[in-house]
Amino acid sequence: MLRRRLLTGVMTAAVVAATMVPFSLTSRAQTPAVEPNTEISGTIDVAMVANPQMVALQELVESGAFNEAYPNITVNLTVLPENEIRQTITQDVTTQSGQFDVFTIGPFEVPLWAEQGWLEEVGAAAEANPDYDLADVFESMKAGLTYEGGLYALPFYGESAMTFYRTDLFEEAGLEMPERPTWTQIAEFAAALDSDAVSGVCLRGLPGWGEMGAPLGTVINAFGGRWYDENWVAQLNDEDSARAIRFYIELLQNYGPEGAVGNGFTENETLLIQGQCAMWYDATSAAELITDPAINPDYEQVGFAYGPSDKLPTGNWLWSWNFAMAANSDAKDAANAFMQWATSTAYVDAIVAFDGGWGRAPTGARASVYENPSYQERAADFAEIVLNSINEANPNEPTEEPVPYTGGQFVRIPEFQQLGNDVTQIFASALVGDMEIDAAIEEANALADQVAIDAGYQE
Amino acid sequence: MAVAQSPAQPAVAAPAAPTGSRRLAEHQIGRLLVLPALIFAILVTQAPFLLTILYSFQRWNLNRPDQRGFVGFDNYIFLLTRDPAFYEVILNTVIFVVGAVLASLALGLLFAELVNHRFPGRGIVRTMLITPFLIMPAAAALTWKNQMLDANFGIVDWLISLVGLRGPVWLSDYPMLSVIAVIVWRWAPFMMLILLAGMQSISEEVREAARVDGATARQEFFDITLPHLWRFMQLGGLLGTVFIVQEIDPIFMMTGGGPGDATTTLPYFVYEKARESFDIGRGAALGVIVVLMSIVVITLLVRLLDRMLERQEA
Amino acid sequence: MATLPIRRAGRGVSRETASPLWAISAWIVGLIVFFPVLYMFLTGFKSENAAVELPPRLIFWPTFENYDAVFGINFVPFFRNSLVTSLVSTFFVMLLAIPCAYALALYRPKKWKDILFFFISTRFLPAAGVIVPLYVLFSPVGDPVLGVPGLGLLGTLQGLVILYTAMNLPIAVWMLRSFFEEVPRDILDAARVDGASLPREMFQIVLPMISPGLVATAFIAIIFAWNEFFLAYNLAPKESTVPMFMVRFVTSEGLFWAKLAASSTMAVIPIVLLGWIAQRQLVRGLSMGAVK
Repeated sequence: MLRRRLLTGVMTAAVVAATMVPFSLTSRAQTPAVEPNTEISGTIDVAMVANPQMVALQELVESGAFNEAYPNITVNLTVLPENEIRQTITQDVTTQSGQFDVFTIGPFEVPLWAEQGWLEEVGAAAEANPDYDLADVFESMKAGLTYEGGLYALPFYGESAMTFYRTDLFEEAGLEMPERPTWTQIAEFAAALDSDAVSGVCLRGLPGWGEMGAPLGTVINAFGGRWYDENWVAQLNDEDSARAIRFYIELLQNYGPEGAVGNGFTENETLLIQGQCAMWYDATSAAELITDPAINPDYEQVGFAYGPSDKLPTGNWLWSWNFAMAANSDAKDAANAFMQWATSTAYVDAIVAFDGGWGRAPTGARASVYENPSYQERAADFAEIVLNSINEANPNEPTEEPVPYTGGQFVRIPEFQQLGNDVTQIFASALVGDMEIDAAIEEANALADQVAIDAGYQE
Repeated sequence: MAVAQSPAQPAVAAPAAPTGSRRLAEHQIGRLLVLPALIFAILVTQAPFLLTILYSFQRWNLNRPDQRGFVGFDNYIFLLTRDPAFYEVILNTVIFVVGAVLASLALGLLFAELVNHRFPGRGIVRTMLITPFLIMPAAAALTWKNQMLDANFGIVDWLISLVGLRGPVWLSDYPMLSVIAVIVWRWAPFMMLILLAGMQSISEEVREAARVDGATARQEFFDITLPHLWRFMQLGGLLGTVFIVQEIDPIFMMTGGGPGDATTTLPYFVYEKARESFDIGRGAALGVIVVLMSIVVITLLVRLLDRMLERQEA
Repeated sequence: MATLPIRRAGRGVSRETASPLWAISAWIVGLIVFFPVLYMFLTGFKSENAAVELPPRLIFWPTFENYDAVFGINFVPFFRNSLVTSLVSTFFVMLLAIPCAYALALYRPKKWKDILFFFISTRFLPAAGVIVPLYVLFSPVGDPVLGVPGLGLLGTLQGLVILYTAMNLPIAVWMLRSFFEEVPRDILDAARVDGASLPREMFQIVLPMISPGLVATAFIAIIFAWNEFFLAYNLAPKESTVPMFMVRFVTSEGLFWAKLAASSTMAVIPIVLLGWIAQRQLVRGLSMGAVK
């Protein structure tokens, strides 16, 4: 606790110095006592997903850091696990109930909700703030948060996907992971490394559009498949898509861990840390976690490679957690102040100081992080792969053949949450052997067709 | 409530004959005392249900407000004819409720019998057996899902591996069994409390007499305890059914209704439609169907209840 | 004061001590049933990595890092909210249920059975079926399309108190009615002949006789209200009750078992302790009348 209090002091100074600069740009950072901003006042309710980065943010806010900068803004934070918070936010926003002023959402929702008029444009205010440095935020991230030229959310942290593997197991087996593996190679490695004690490869098997749906969607993209053709006819049973789905399920059945159908990000992360998985393909944000000595005592045994390729070099996975503002918020200035504070470069410095490390710092959203010497040292093994993966991903043209939708690991239509949940539940049945894979693919395809017809996309 | 109106006759009107006026006004007093609770229950439970009925005739996905409108019986027709999961879910619900209630009763009976005898530390054992009923359902579900049943780091499979066997992947190989197990773990103690109450109402004289006649412990249990407990078991079954059918937390937290629809019960199905798919129209239609089906089951339960009440009056 | 000829808990217990084998079996069953709770408690004192370690360490040097992390979040409002909603809703449950059950048992209004069945049936209907309409009714805007006004109860403790009262009312009416049934008629008749007013009859004669039943009923209502997750999560997610505090430690990124075990332990401790203390009351209360 003492450590935390000391750090709080250091961090507070950093935040105050860096964010609160209404007066003199020159005296920034050197002056220890910058005037807090007392002009903006109000109470804002913020809903956040319970990922480590947000939990760190909450601790920082509760330590008083935000109120040092904005003494007249009261922030109430609601933090819940991803599934729960997503439902809560969606229901609140779509019924216009106004429980929350600010919330964390992904690029899936932002353009759809902006179109419905549920979100406030926040790009202009960020642009106008010289300290915020909006240009530092990755273009690819901003592209997913834009609707009709306006920016409707500010990225907190972002991710693409990559391959993690156990170098000790690879060495033992005399194998070498290429920097840019193909899915065929992954399958070969998995076969070679799979044993009673170790699973060859871990992938998400947990049903849900944001769980199994995410990596599976990118495998479909990489294999040259797609969810729909230009006329919104479902293509899951098309040759490439079906090949991808069968590959994914069989890979897990043959070389995956016990109970893969219950495994999401965390479970697979744990398996890799415990040395029970030889390889894992998932979000790049795992890299910081599994190289943190406090989380992973075997952190030196983790290797990194790009996301596997097939027909396409990448599956076009791109995700970010972003702060967005409800259009019906009654404290817009306070909301803007909070969002900009939380997504600023100064916040990154503050949380690194607070934690004494990069473990829970938001990355993958701002280029400046990757130019920071301390981060370069901390993330030497994977920073370049992460940076390139984010820059290479193109969710606006995610597939080999043209599609009528955007999105890498999702299809950006309002109906996709239900469709993705239902389809992955069907594939989960196939994964545990309750159903033939081909039958599952046909059922999923019929469902996708029906959704497109019901929604009025398909003529 | 169609209570026959007797001519207004306040209880204070005839002080000379207090008993008589009391009797006359008794129905009114009774009604007056019942009304606040009744009105409250009707308001809170029936008002939202009216809205549910209205929504069930609407096409309304929260994400597509532009498409909202009345569609007649479309939602009902879809659920009854085109939703592939619907009938499987009904079957799941029956298995879930019947399985959990019966297993809870059986285990509850065992627990109750165990602690209904004197032995050193009986109070401690009873305390340990009651504890699961006190545990927050959400905490119980998460503890079981992660620390008990996890395929890789769970204690149950590890224990099985100690005897040289390979434990199953509980949540994917036996999802329904796993969910029921957690329910039973929490509800068997409740049954134990009720059955223990029943056992302790058996007069010691009857037991003593049986023992004097040379009855073994087994005979005593089957010939005296069990018949006496029948009413208590009916009560446990009834209350258990009412509570267990509503249990959503363990399904929500352990399996999400899956794999596939393997652990989706009707209440969870309604929840999934409304909260995960944001399909208010179909969710509402399903809610109405479930309520209609519940009324059928309630009617059956009520007959049982009626018999219990009758016996009591006799 | 007249007291009921209540069978005292424990009276029906066999007087003879059971065989050692019986005692051993009972202890084993008890330990098995209790084990998950114990394991949860222990895990709260392990590091995240030790929490997933197999074979599990039953003897280890405890770490307080999880509680440190859990205390890093201000948990006081959650516990305060749970305390308020549990106690206030239980107060209203008793306020509504006592007269209702009293009348059902001792005045027998017409159709009293139908009324009792109605109460039980409201508990049987799936709450999930009305969760969205409730959300709409509770929201400040209501449903403008249908012209339904909003009550502005979303995310408020008042809203939860109303729902928990409705949730526990049926079981309370059911239990209390059984207790009132046990009150001997002649005592009541004697009181009435003496011209006792209704309040006097209720508060000075009947209620004291069934006080263990009152305690048991109130306690059951408190357990259900404190442990309630579904309604709190759906209708009052922000700054809500203890279950909301507990689940926030579940994350889809990073290990969380040990922290979750710590937060779970905190969440269940008040009710578990209360239950341990009040278990005699509970058994006695249930044995008194629940079966009638």
